[in-house]
Amino acid sequence: MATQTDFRSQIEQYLLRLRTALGRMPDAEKAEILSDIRNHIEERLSDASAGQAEIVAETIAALGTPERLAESFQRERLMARASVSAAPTALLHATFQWALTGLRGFLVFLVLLFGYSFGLAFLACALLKPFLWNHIGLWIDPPAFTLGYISPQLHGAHELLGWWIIPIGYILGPLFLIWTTRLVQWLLRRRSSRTLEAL
Amino acid sequence: MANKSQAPNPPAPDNWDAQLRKGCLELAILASLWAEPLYGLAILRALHSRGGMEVAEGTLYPILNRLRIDGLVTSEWQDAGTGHPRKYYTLTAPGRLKAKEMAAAWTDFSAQMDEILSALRTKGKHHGDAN
Repeated sequence: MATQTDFRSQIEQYLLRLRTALGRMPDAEKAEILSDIRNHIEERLSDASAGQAEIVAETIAALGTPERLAESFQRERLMARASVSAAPTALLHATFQWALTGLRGFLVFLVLLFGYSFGLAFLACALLKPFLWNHIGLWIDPPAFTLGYISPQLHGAHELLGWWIIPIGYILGPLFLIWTTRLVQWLLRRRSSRTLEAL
Repeated sequence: MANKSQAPNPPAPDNWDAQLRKGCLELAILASLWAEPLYGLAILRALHSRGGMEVAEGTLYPILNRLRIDGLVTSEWQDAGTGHPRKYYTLTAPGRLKAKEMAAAWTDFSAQMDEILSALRTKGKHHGDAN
């Protein structure tokens, strides 16, 4: 029969594993989460006059393994940061973490990289065209396209848009950045709602 | 060699049901806090007593943490006289707004689904029924 020391030790072991599994989360937030879980278990215990060891075992089973619980906290936290903030660093971090888990995440990460790259390239072209007019633009050297800086004499490429790259760059650049941000935020939210743990 | 069936995978209603409930969980949690601040276990009990919804404890706290980061709820430790403090969650103004928006979306969606599903409740013949 389990003694009080046994189940107290079980709680501490669970919390220790949870603390380790929470990884590089800020200490304050980690402490907050550990307090939440500790108090939840205590709350369950305060309800039961007998069979406390069983209550602890049931509660820990309902919480899931510390590693899985920590993963849920990290995932939700990451999604919250990415969905609240449109900061490129937050989105890059969230999608990079997703990319580590599989092909779908990797594709979303590529979408983000390409979207940002095109957006920045269009803006850079619009900004620099007046100063480097014979080097900056949208160039074609079949079958390749180049958006940005090129030495046309060297590659034999010819320009497609000419000075139109300036208005087009100023329009498409921000649109690429905004659309990419919104698309990735939407994908992250969608993933978050789909991957919540079982009820 | 085994004779493999060409039929598509059978539907998984249990999984579908779980996915549906997961999608509604955030709204359910916000709604449970509408009338008064609650602590974690009280939220689980409210969801169970009001809607019969069983939510795993390991699911609730990560979502509460996200809602807090999103600024939809605030939390405050209070001494409940039970020997350990309780963390009470309260809806913020953006949380109330979000809950209302989600509830409106849910109502619209539910009405649309009711309309679509009314076809299943009519007593007409099936398309494939013989004359």
